[in-house]
Amino acid sequence: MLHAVNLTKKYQENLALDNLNLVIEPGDIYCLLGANGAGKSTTINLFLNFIAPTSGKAVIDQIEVSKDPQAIKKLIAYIPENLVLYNELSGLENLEYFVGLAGMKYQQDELVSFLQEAGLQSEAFKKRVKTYSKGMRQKIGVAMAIAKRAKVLLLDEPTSGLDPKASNEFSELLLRLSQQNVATLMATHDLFRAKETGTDIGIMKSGKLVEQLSTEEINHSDLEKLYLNHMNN
Amino acid sequence: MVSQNIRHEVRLLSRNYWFVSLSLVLVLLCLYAGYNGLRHFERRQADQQQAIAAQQEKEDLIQEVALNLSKGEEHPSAFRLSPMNVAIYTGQLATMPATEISKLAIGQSDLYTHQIKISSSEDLATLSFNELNNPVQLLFGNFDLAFVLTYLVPLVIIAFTYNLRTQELESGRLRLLASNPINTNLWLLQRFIIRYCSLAIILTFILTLTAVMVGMAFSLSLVTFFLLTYAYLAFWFAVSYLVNIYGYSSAKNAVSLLSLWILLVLILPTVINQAANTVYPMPSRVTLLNEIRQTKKELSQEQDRVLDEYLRNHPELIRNEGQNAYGYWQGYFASQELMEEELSPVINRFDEQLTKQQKWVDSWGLLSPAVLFQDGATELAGTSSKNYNEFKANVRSFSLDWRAHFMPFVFDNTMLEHSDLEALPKFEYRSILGTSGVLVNISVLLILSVLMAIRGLALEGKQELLSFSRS
Ligand SMILES: Nc1ncnc2c1ncn2[C@@H]1O[C@H](COP(=O)(O)OP(=O)(O)OP(=O)(O)O)[C@@H](O)[C@H]1O
Ligand SMILES: [Mg+2]
Repeated sequence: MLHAVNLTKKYQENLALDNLNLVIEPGDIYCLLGANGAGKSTTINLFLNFIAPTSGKAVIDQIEVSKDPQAIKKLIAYIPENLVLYNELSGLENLEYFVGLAGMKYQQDELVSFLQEAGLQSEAFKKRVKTYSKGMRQKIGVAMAIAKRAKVLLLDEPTSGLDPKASNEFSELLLRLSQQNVATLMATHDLFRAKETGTDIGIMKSGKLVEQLSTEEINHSDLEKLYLNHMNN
Repeated sequence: MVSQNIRHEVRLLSRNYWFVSLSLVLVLLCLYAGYNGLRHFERRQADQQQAIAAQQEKEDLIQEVALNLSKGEEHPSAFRLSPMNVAIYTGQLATMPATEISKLAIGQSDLYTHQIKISSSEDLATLSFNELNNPVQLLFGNFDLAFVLTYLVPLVIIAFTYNLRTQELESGRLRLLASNPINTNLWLLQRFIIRYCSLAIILTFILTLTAVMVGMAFSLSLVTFFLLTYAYLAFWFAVSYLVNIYGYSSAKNAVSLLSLWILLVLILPTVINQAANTVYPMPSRVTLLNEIRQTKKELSQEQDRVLDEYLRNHPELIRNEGQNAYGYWQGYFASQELMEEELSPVINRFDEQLTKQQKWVDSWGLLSPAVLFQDGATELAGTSSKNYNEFKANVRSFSLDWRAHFMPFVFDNTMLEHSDLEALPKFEYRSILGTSGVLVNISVLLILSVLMAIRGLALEGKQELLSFSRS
């Protein structure tokens, strides 16, 4: 579903992403780990066509991202670390607007059901988003992904700053989506969540993917050791 | 995307108290400006009515005398029917009536006289130089509706659009938006167009309210005034759109847009005006008036020679009695006529410079939307310097006809009769300016707006702006 083929991004002399090769299949939850500045967001931005690759290509569903970005954007849903919505609109109105931009039309009750599916408490639906907590806003992001029927989820540290309960709820939503064959690429600093939720883990360092493994192959403490090992070298 | 954006903007704007309250302030400002314009209009009308009434009194008097005499009765004021009296004392009043639209755009009208006594004693040559002449509307002239629209409405537009895109960029929301299959610059353009329409609707409402308040009837000029306003709004929205697309920060956008406002609305009109005066300087008023005075003096000292010369050129006026039959008045009229001829190159020099200045302003004015709007509005209102110069030209040419009409009477030394009074030439201000000039202004504003919109759309995908707002 998602392929990175020798994907490289250079900012002047700074090699932000160095020859990344990656395959993520439907139902996979691929977690990218790495220190600040390792190139995780750069990878996600390349899949979103927010930036253009210096060389190599990002491919989603056999379509090269930079060739037909509009087609790609129909397939993907993006949730950044801090989902900024329109504060003066309610959660429901925000969902309606963004889903409309994605080209989907829903009845009010369908939109409500997406919010319910994303786990937002129903009292909040019609409240203005400025009263929402961070966790509630992230749930709107998930509702958008559900409503958009996204085949690919691109998540950039979606759980950072969430409390453990909210973070756990978010993971459960991801798992449910992966059962519906959604392919997920998630950048995170949360080793625990990555091991719990992910199917695959990639460790990045200075723009390079230095380690790839399946979560089934490793336990929590070994993962932490491996990670720190890479960081210390 | 359009219908979503419309619903979206309506929601955002209706919950934006700042927008709602500023709209209310705009209503009050426009009503006050309309009231000001109305007062101006009424004062101008009253002045004119007064002058017309005074003139009417004089005309009634000679009518009465003529009527009495025609019935074979005597009248103590029979002398009033002498050609000198009718031509000089009674004279005629040339008026430039105020248009309805002048309630909305006072323009330079308070600098000018709109009723000029036409009399063969006045040398109308001096008329041209008596008044201030400014091809571009003076800054901060009157607080009329045109002022609110020219100066204040662009500020309102800037306040409501300066950060329409950068706000999304800075908050990181643009990334979320751009993760959807949309053309973000088109999306932005739609939001601008929707805000444009909202403001246009609000202003239509306010302008209509103002028009009703000042008692204006529906007319083609009023519709054109509305169109001009829409075009001017479009220009500012388009500028803000382009600034938003190029800009990276809301603060910088605000500064850029305000600088543009200062440049286009305040500085450029002044510079264009000054430059017109520098490139095509007006001959010195003092020199001109001296020249006129000198000519007058010379001519009055040699009435006999003047009369001789005049009759040589106008043999049709020579009567059988021979030259000695002519007295003071024939000499006076002849010298007036001759003076007109001698001074016409001087006046033409002045008029030519004026025309050149006007042309200069017409072409360089294209650089400033404010000049385009003001010019268009005052032209519709008949209060532009163009209109006034046209009126003066009308007056001048009529005054020549007026004197020419009396020449046979003066040289025949005959009194006017009732039927002669009916046959006197009548002044009527005829404007050939029309609204075609305004249509040019409207088109220029619209074309510029469309070009800016196209430029903005063409930049889609050309900028890696999104990486600047790393979340
Ligand atoms: N717009 C940009 N211009 C120049 N350099 C950039 C730009 N965006 C990212 N970089 C550089 O690219 C490298 C990778 O950055 P990236 O944002 O991908 O890191 P990250 O792994 O997401 O880090 P974090 O954990 O802090 O989010 C860094 O060295 C960063 O400084
Ligand atoms: Mg990052």
